[in-house]
Amino acid sequence: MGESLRRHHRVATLTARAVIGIVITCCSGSARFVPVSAQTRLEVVGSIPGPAEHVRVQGTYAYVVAGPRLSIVDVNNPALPKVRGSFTLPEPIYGVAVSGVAVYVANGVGGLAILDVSDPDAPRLLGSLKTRGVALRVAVAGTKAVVGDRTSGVEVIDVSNPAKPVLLGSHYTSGYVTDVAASGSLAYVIDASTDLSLIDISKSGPPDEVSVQESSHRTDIIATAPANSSTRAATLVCISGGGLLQVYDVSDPSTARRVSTHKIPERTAGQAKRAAGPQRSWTSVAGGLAFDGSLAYVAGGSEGLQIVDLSDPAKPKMIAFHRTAGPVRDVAAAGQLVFVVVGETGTAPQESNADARQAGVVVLRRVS
Amino acid sequence: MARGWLAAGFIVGALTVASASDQWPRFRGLDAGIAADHPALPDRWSRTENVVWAVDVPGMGWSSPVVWGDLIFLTSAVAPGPIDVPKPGFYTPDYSYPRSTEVHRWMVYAVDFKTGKIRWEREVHRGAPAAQKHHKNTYASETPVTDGERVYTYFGGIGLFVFDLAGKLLWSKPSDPLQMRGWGTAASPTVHENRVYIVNDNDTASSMAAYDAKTGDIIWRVAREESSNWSTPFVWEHDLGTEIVTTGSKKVRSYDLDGRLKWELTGMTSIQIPTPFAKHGLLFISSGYLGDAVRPVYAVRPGGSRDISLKEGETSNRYVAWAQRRLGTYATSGLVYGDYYYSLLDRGFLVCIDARTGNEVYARQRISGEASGFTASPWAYNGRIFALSEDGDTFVMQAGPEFKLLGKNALDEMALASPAIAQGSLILRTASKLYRITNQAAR
Repeated sequence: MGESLRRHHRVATLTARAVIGIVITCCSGSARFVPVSAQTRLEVVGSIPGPAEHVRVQGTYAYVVAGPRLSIVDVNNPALPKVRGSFTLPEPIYGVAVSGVAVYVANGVGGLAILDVSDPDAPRLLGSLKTRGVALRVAVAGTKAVVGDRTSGVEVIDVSNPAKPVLLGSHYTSGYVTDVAASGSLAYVIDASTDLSLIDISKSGPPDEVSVQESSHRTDIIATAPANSSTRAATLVCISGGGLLQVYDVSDPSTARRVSTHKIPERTAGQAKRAAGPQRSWTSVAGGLAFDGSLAYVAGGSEGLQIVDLSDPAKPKMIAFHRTAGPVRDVAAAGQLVFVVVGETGTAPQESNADARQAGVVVLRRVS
Repeated sequence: MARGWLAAGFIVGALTVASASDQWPRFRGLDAGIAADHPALPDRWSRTENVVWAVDVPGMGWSSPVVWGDLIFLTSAVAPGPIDVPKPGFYTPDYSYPRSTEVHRWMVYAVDFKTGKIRWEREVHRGAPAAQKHHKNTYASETPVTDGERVYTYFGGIGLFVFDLAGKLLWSKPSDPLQMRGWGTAASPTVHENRVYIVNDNDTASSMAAYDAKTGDIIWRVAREESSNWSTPFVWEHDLGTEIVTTGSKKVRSYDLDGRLKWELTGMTSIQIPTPFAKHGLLFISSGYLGDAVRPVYAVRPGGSRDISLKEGETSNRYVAWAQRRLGTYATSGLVYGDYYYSLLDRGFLVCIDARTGNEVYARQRISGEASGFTASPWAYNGRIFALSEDGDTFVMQAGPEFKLLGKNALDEMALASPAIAQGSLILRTASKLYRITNQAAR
C-alpha cells in the first residue's frame, strides 16, 4: 500500500493542536462541534500492507490477522515495518490476544488455537481446543484464556500448559456473546442482550457470575483499562457500540457501575453488516477499542479513529480523531504508537474513492 | 412393530381421574402450559422415582405428546442404526448441516395411557430426507393435535396425515420439501371448529392454509411475506370474536377465519419460534432471538385492526397493553400462571412480571449455572413452575412473586419436547423415552 494510502492519511489526519473545535459528522449525517481540550495530534509514520482485519501489538512486534492468517511484523522501526513470519490456521481468525510469547486465537469453529511466537520468523501451533460454539473473541489473564463462543457463551480455559489447554468451565450469558476481556481473576463479557457480566475465572469448574449490569445501549466491543498495579485487577472497562462509549467503574466487581456515556461517531450496524457481507455479518464487528494509559482509542469504522481522554472517567473527552481512507476496523496502541486497521473503502457511495481502495495497517504516532 | 416400546419393569399402576378437562389435545394443552391442580401431579421424579411407566421410543422426534382419553399420540422419524442424539446446549457443530441419505420412516404412534404399550402405529412416509435439518432438530418436531375425533399429524416438507383415533388414515396432503435455512421444520398444526390451520413459513414461498378437518379439502390459502419461522399459530377466542394469530420475524399477523388480515404488529426479532397464547383477556407474544438486542414480549388487547405497531419510544398504545423490550425468549413460549407472566429465557433465567401491567415482579434469576439451555416451554401446576433443561433436568420453582428454586429432577437424557399433563400424570419425552410420571404418595 504504501505511498498512496500514506499520502491520503497525511491529508486526512486532523491536527488538534491549532484548533479549538473540530467538526465531525455523526451517523445521522448532521454536523456538530466537539471541543478539543488537549494538544494532541497523530502523524502517519508507516504502514503494513493489507489485507488486515485485526491487529495486536506487544513489544516491538505487531500481530496482524487477515482471514485465517496471522503475520508477525517487526515494528522496531515503525517507519519500515517488516514481516517476519506467518502462520495459517484452518479456519478464519475472529479474535486474537497476545501474552508473553504466545498468541491466542479465536479460530471460529476451530475453537481456541495457541501459537508460539518466540521465534517471530517461524511461529508454530502449540496447542488447540475445540470449543462448543464459534470462537469469536479471546482474552487472556494469567494462565486463563477466556473465549467468547457466541452461541455457547463463554469458555474458561486453563492455558498454564499451552500445549494442552484444558476447559475449566463455561458460562451462558443471556444473549449471544459479542466480546470478552479479562483482567486478574475476572472476565468481562458483553452480549447481544447488551449486558455486561463480570465472571470469576479464578476457580476450576463452571465460573461464577459476580454481577450483571444491564445496559440500554448496544454493546459490540469491550476493553479493560490498564490494571491497578497492586491488585492486578481492572478498575475501568469501556464498551463501544451503537455510537456510544460507555465507561464502567468495576473497582467493586459486585456492583459494576456505569460512570459515563460518551457519544462517538461510528458507522451504523447496518453499514457494518453490509460491508462485512452476508457470510460474516455476525462475525465482523466494525470497530475495536484499545487503551494506552488514560487514553481510549476507538475504531469507528468509516468515521475514523477517535481518541478519548478518560483521565476523569466521569467526563470523557474526545481529544482527537483521525480520518482514514477506508473504514477503521481495529486498533492497538503501544506507547506513542497507534496501529490502525483500515479496511477497503467498500461500495458505499460516500466511501468511493478510487485512489484509496487499499487496506492494511497504518502506523500512527501520537504527538502531544 | 418397530424396535423399542419395551415397557420398563416398574409399572406401578395407574392413577386416572378421567374428565374432559384432563385431555391435553395440542402443543402446551388447552391453557398454554397450565394444568389444573391435582394431588397426583408430581414435583419429584427421577428415572425410577414416581415413574408409572417408561418406554423406549423408536427414532427421534421433538414433537410433544398429546393426550385424549386413554391414548397418547406422538410422532417420530426413525432412521436405521442407533439413535444419533445431539449434544444439548447452544452451539454450532458446523457451518453446514448435511442431509442424511439414510432411509427414514416417518411414524405416528398411539400409546396406551395406562400401560405405555403401543396401541397402534402408522408409517406415513418412507425415504431419505429431502431437506437438511439443524443437528439438534428432528424430522418429527411438529406436535400432533386432536379434537377427540381425529388426530392430525404434520411433518414439514412431508405432509399432513389425519387419522381417526383407531388409527385409520382418513386423508392426507403431501407437501414438497421446504427450505428452512437448512434447519428443518417445527411449526405445529392447529385445529379449530372443523378446520386445520397450517402456517408454512420457509425460505421460498411462505403461506398459511386452512383445510377442512373432515375431508382435507383446502378452504383457503394466503401468501405470507415471511421467511423461515417455527412458530405454531394460535386461534384466539375472545369477547370480540375469533382470530388466528401468527408470529413471524417480520410481523405478527392476525387473520380472520376466512384468511383476511385483521391486524399486524411489527417489532419482532430475526427468528420466530415461541407460540402466542392468551390469558386474562390479553394475547401474549414473545420474540427473543439470542443474537438481537431487543427481544420483546407484547401483551395485546382484542379488537385491533390494521397496523397496531408501537411507535418509536412507545411501550403501549390502544391495542398493545404493554411491551417489554428484553423479556422475549428464543424457543420457549411464555407462561401465565395466576397473576404472573413467567419468561423462561433460553440460557437459564426466569423472569416474572405482572401479566396485566407488564410491571416487573422479579428480575432475571439464574435457575442454574450448570444447565445447558432450555428449549421446552415451561409448565405449571400445584403452585409450582417447571422448567425442563436440554440435559433432561426439570427445575422446580415456586410460583408467585418470589423466586425460589425448590428442586431438580433428572432424567439423564437430552430433552427438548414440552410435556403433556393429563389425568394426574406428567407425560414427558426425552430423546429415547416416553415417561408417565405421577406422585405415588397421592395414590
